[in-house]
Amino acid sequence: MAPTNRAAHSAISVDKFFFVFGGALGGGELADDNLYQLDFLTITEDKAHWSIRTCKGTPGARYGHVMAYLRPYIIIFGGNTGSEAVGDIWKIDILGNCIWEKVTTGPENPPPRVYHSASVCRTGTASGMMVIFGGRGIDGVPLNDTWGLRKHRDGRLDWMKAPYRNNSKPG
Amino acid sequence: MMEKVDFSGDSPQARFGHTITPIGKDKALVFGGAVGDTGTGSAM
Repeated sequence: MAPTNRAAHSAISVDKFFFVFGGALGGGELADDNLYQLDFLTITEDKAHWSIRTCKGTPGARYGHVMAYLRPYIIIFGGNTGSEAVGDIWKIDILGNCIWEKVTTGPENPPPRVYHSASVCRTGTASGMMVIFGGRGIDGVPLNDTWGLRKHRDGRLDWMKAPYRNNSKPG
Repeated sequence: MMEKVDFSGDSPQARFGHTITPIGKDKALVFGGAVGDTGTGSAM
């Protein structure tokens, strides 16, 4: 069960699996909200065996979002749900119960955005933090703010805004 | 430092809005993207 053709989706690999979620189809229609899974160790010259990961709940169809792996969770943040940019976070314990849950964070959160980027720090003091940068806000204006999503020992997820020089404008 | 990598084989079709994801130790997988106005399929 391969995902249909799509763009502005997000993809990550966890262990031996490659996951794809969301995106948009030709003509601007939203792709479905299935979590597609590919065991990349079984890829051959001309075949890839896809399946749909059965999960409870859904973040809802969207494009221009980001997906990252903060063990044990796959995290989805932001994107456009078809009508507007959003700033919600969803998590799923992909090797555990496979339930999508909307994440409640603290009082300070990054504004909604689409077409941002994200990466997870793997070393240093920010190890395990998902860092997001930029994107396009609700009003369509490009953003240059940086935020870090950190998982606390008790499982809570919280954003912190990175300090930045206000005079550094994107070129 | 950015470096251009030599490779053999066919290049994926020109595209945007795709992803490239590391898989395992020594591979990366390009998936999806759009060609003109329409989405395209997966490629490696």
